[in-house]
Amino acid sequence: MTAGALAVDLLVGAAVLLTLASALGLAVMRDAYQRLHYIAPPATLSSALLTAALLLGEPQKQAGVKAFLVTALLTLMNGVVTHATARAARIRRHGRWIPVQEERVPLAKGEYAGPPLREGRKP
Amino acid sequence: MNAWLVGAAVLMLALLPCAWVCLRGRPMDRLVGLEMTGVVLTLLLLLLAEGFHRIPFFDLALALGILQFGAGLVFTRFLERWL
Repeated sequence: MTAGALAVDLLVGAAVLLTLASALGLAVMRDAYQRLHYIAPPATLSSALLTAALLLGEPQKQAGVKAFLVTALLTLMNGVVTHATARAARIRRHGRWIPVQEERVPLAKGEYAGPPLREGRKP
Repeated sequence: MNAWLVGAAVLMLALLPCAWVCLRGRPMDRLVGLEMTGVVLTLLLLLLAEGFHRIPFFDLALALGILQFGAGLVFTRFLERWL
């Protein structure tokens, strides 16, 4: 086995293992917001690894160009779809997109993230 | 049998957790599972296209990538407002 063939096999193996791990993580998580994070690695890294393997191992460059287009599409569109899905999940849960006064997320000791409290309201 | 086809066979196992999420849980969880399934299938088509050495099969992966993007946005819109 040549060094190039070995590199192709390693890249393919890494892409497949990364996708498998992300799918398992997707199933383990309990919330839609947490599950959304696990779509990013296969959409970006796995597709990039497969494209690199194609450019290394395939003599016809047309395959590499098409794989590059698929990688670019997945990478660029993944952020848009993830944001749209998270937005839909939030609107479905809370009825609105913008944060409400009662929605203050606790950070560290005594600190909160969210809109400032109105006068007379406790944290 | 080459590394690409072996990788495609192993990658099919990633569809099982996606199917599990799609079959159970709340509607938004199922949508996330569906989006992940689309990504896995796109990668699977890439592997199969190179494994069988069929250059036109790469167009399937490209078409699926474009369509799953539109489908994801349509489903999010419906789940946000009407379903």
